[in-house]
Amino acid sequence: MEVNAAIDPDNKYNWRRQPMLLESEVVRDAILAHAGQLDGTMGGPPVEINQQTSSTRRSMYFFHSADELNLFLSNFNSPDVGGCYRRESSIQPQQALALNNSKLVLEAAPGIVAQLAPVEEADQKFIQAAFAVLLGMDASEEETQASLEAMKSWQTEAGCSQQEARAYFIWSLINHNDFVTLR
Amino acid sequence: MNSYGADSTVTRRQWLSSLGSGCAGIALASMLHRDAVGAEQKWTLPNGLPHYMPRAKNVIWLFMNGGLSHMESFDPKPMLNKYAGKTIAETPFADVQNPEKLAIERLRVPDANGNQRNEIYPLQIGYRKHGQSGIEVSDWFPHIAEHVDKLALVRSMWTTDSNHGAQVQFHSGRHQNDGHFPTLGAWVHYGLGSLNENLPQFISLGRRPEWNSRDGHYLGPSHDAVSLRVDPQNPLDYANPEIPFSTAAQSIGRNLSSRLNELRRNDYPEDPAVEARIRSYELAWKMQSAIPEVFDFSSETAATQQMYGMENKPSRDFGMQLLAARRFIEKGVRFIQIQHGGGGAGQWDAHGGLKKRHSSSALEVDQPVGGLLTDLSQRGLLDETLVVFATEFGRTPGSQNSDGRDHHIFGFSVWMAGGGLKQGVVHGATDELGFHAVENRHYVTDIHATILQQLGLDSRRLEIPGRKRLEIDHGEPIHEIIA
Repeated sequence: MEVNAAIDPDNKYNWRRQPMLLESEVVRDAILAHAGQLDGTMGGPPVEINQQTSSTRRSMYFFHSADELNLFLSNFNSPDVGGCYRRESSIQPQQALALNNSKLVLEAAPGIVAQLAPVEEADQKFIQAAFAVLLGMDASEEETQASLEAMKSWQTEAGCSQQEARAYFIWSLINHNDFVTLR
Repeated sequence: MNSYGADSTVTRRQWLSSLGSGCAGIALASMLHRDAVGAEQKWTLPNGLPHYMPRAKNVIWLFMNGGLSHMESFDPKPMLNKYAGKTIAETPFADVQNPEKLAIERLRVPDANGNQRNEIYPLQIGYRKHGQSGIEVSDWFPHIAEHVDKLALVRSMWTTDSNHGAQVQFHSGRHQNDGHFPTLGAWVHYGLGSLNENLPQFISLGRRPEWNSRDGHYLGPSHDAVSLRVDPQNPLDYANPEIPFSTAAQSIGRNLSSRLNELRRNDYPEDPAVEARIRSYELAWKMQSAIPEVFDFSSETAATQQMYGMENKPSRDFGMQLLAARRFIEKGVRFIQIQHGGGGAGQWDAHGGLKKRHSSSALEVDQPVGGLLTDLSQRGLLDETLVVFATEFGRTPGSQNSDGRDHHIFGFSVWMAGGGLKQGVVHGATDELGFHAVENRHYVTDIHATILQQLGLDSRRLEIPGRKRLEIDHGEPIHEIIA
């Protein structure tokens, strides 16, 4: 690895995986799937634009045209109708706002908590499970510590219950760079 | 976790990812050691200050997608009327099509467009002289024409891609076949520090075609323009939680996600996206209050809104974008890129029905641009703001599809106003047919160099280790139009 890094720091010859932004559909579907809410039914008519916010169907079934774009999806790496459905997305602050404030994420968070671990599981184990499942990586000691402290703050400073604190923690993890990145 | 993350040697990627994090010094020292940029001038990381006294602070970059006809806008050619219907070979100017004169062309996408058009097509609109300077402007642009004495008009532009890759080329200075290179806005963003930390410093409004949607490229995604949509009724999507919850709980969560992203940044030094993500979150939280304020036009008088053409349906959208641009300038945003006209390769791409298409497109932009120039000068902002009006190429003197014009790279027009440039001047010229730029020819990067010079930036000092740029990438400032 070190040798490769010295020879080809730009990864011109693809000696390592290039991190990529997840497709918008994957971002939305993952949020719902982690919460156990994704409807995996195959086939059927497209979901019209005005029904999409409340729909739990996979994003690929969403009606998608130049004029009717799903707001959440269009903020992420989504296909350009006017450009042969190619994807050319960048990192934009609007993505942060969508993951911070959308109903989709805020509603999914408690559901994800329930899917991840039983209520009686210790916080530390819950945190480790969340890192593994949502970000696909192990939580380091520092990350576990920072998460534990935040969980405590939610309970002491914001007056949340333990389950609420866990939901806010999940909300924070969905806002982690690696939730929308494939490495 | 990736084991390459543990690599202790300093790569350029690591150096890039450390940009802006304030701890680039150590990495930098060893970088400079390895591939110094020209021994005579020591390379330094941009410190956000101009290299020399700037004449302009902000840029409003207006770009007509698709290719505006130079003959029917800012470079009228009476010879087209005289020889209408004849072939170029039948005119006294037959030599314009000599193969060696066409050799600058470098195609990317050969298709039905971007070809030689031989039958002279007459001007589709009249033109007249305007102002003290007597510069000729077509009758499709009466509002801009009122400001002709403020313009520095360059009639001798050329480029090399006779398909719409020229859009990319106009922004980056490089032909698409060369790969992806940072655009002018990204260089400015990279070189100059923030004027206002609550707003993005590089904003894109309007329609950007998919093949030209990024800016930072090797400078990193944090130098991409932030795209915004102007809609006073709904200034920013997801500006507040759709399920309200306490601000205390919000801020604990924000701190946690920032902290977690920062912890990971050190693990992926080769991935500048993490840094860009961290910054995009910081900016997002500030934008929540700053953007709605800018897009709230209620403090603008009816007269101002009218001036921007906001009461007319065709010019309403572009008018709002330009008014927003002025408000962004006032808030200290550095570079606002507004691209006009979506659909296909761009609304100005009139291969057929040129008269209809150009006249309706002109109706959308003319009054807003005139309004912007009036407004900026009334407020004394034109001195420090550089307004650029550009397009990717001109259109052929010959006809295509009987009533249109094809792409034309050999000569076209761009104008700039304000920002310490001369006012009411024409620089360069095309030949009698508007075919070739013949006098004081300028490649697109000369526009970049002129703008950078006015902003006080030296593009050579911005060049980064390992990314040698060519002379033509830097361009040469157009000294003749600088006041």
